[in-house]
Amino acid sequence: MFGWFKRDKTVPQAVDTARELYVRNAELASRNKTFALLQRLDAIALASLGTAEMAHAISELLIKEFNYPFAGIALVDSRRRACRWISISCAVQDQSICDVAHLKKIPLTAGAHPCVIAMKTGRRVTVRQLETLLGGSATKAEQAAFKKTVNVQSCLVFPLLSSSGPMGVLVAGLNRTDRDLTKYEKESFGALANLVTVALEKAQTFSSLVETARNLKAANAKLTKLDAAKTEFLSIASHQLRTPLSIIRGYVTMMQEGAFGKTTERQGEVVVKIRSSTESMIELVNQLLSVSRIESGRTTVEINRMHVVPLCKEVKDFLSLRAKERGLTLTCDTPKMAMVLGDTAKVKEVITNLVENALKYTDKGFVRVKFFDEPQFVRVEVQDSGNGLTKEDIGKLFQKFSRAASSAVNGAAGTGLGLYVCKRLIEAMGGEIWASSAGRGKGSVFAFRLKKAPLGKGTKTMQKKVV
Amino acid sequence: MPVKKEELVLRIVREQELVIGPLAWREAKKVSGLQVGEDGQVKVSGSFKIVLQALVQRYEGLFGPASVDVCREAVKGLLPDVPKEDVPDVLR
Repeated sequence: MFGWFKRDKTVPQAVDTARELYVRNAELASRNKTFALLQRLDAIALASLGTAEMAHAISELLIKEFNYPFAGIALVDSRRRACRWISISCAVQDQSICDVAHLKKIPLTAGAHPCVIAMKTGRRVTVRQLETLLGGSATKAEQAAFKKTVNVQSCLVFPLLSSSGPMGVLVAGLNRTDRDLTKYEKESFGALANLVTVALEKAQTFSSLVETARNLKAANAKLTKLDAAKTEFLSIASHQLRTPLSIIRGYVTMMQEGAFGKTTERQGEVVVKIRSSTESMIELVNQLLSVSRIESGRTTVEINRMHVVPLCKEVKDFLSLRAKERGLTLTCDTPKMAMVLGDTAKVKEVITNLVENALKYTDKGFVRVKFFDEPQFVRVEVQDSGNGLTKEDIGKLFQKFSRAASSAVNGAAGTGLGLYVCKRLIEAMGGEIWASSAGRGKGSVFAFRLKKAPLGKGTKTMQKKVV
Repeated sequence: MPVKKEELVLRIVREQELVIGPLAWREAKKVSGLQVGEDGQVKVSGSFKIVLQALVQRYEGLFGPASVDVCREAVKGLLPDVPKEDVPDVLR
């Protein structure tokens, strides 16, 4: 008796519990479905990068998941003047209406268009007549045939709202009215529109990056071509200039030496000016030639074991007259230094350039060349008591056509190419070059270091490198 | 676009599976006149409408009216494309 009583009471309780659990499970299942859908959408966003490709995949997903007759996406164009259909997918294949290429744009000024209304209000819009949505894009006959074949009863237009404003619409064509939406559809729509917006925004960013990269590549190719043409022009022009300039300098020197008779004092002053200007032009042409050779890959360095101290002494002897003319003291240490790895001619060119610069930008005092023994390098410093440099000057000194602001102080002529050439040469030899100064009017130091040569004999070329 | 009526059965069982798990298939197999496989095969003998109604009632008997709502939700998107004579009133 008691057993029967127990069973009778427990069974309905168990049924109630099961039904209660069912209701909760049903709610969870509905949410799970929504999450699964969003996850699939996320997978689409990760798998595709092109806007059209992604829009198509999203439309197809909606058709399959909700049994929609059709789904489409229209996006606002880059000028923000109109909305353009990117994708329309139909459950029934081969519908001419799905060919977005022949669908008309929707001007954003068309205030009565459901897509424009949805974007402006930021709310879902329901359209009962398909013609209202695609009006003007397809003929009436096409639309009627489409409506009949795919059984579209109403359309839902969802705005896609990005952080920068409306970016388009997502359209779902239903085989029923919008009053017959399932709970699953209602739950999914909000998150769906947001995720679609993020995914399409990403795709649009990628597309614009691809386009920018393509434009940059084209511009770069054009610039490279122009640069090559410029280098070629410089090379030819410089060669053509150097010969007549050398002839002028020769004749002017002969005039100074009295080869064409004695000149008056006034004539002598003019001849000195002509010679000075001619030498400046020759220097400019030589440097332009060096740059054009370097940039066209025609300059090479032959790296040998070499002594740097005697080279500096040669430069000092060569330029001591000029230093004397400017009333400056030019000195060069002659310590015993290890051999370095470098190209003798190129190292000499660098030292000459640095000492000439120091002489040019120093009005009084000294220019001295000093050597420092470092564990793996030999450091050469050209110190002067000249104009000095600011931090801004130092930052750009070794760039092409760059001159220090302080160089304008004493009006010395310069091309802004010498230090650029020095940097390219020293770096090609595996060294470093830099400048330092305590500030304007406090002199400056131009230094470079070259690797010490391994112990051994001879000066056989160890390496040949293009600068 | 016409839908195969067997799709209604599959949708219902799959939706129930999301809620109650494999039990959904076991209960469906107990419905008289209905043969279903988890691979998507459906065979109905006799009146489709009656078998479909029996399937809904099978779940309702176990889990109450909430299960009928789940069945309705499952097929809502398909109903406009299925002939009316194949759809039991309980699903409308």
